[in-house]
Amino acid sequence: MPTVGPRSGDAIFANVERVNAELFTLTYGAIVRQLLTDLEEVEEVNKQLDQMGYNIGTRLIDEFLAKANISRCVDFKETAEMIAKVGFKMFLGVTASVTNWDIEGTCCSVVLEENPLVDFVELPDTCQGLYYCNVLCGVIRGALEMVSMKTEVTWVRDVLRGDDSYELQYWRDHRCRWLLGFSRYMQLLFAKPNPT
Amino acid sequence: MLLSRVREERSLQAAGTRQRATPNGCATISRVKNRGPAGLDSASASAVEEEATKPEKMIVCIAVVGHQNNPLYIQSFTEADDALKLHHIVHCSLDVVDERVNNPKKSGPLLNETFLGLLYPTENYKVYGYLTNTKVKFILVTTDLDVKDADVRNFFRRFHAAYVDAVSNPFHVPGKKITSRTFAERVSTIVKAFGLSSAG
Repeated sequence: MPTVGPRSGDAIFANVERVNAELFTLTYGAIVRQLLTDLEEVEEVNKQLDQMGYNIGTRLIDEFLAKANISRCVDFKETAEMIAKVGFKMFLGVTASVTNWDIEGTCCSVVLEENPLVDFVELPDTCQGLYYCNVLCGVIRGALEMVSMKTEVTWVRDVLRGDDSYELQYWRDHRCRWLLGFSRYMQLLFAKPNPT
Repeated sequence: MLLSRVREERSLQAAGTRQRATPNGCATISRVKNRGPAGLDSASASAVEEEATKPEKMIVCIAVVGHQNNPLYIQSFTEADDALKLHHIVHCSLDVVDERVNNPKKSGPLLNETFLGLLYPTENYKVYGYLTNTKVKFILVTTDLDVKDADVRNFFRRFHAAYVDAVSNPFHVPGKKITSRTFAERVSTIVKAFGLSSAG
């Protein structure tokens, strides 16, 4: 199993172009604010953020695979580690940790200590059901679907709702097991060659 | 003698204090300016007494006022005083701010527009003002009889930082009151730090 450490994530992060974090945070805040004004229903906004994230994820996966230069993941555990250590680092500049694996290895939790999307944010009382960072769920779901892994991603803990950190839960969808053979073929087709 | 000795010790403890123990042991308590070598004997004696019995180095109230003189945040820190009286003081000080802004005392490139300094002393309060670039005013009301300029400037700098973070919240509507709980907590931390740093 190829080893993936935080160093590869750091190295890639050092080489990609970066944008001002405050600009990013304020832009995302403006998007959420506008969605709330337009849609008014908190659940609708959650869905819309997820959908936006999905659209971003389907495009982001190509950039990730191109820049990260990693080898093919053997199983879902490795995929999750890759997302947490390399993906989050590359795009958000934060490192996440993967915990709480279930017995079958299809469900895990990714914990983020800090989240640049929510700097300065405090949810008002009228928006208590809002998952402010729901776009992240959509991004991961969309990206994994493009490499033929159907997953469901949900929030378990959210600092804006009073918890101490951000925790996402990934479920590998069992119903798509028959796609495994096909997905292996796809991975072989699109994977980068191993750097020697 | 005992009281003046206590005062001397306190002034020595406070780092960088401008209090100089004059030969007869009386410290200067000036109402309008913090400089000046000697105060009146009776004034300083009574002030020393007050200092020794009741160390009132407290911020009574701070207020954030928008550029149209609409209140955005008012927080008082003593239970004793009437909230209405504090509102009145803050309101009066806005006139002084407008006056200072429209008639600058010295014009030129060296004019530091942000910190307005002591606006006016009233009864037992002192009122300080600070103007941001967006014409938002911070008003500080304190019962501190001896407060250093540097402390107040420091206070306003930290308060400004907290204000900027509160306003960056996407759910904050500019022009409406600040309802952020984090802001309130940060402000009370800054106020406590101010009280501790200027205490002798």
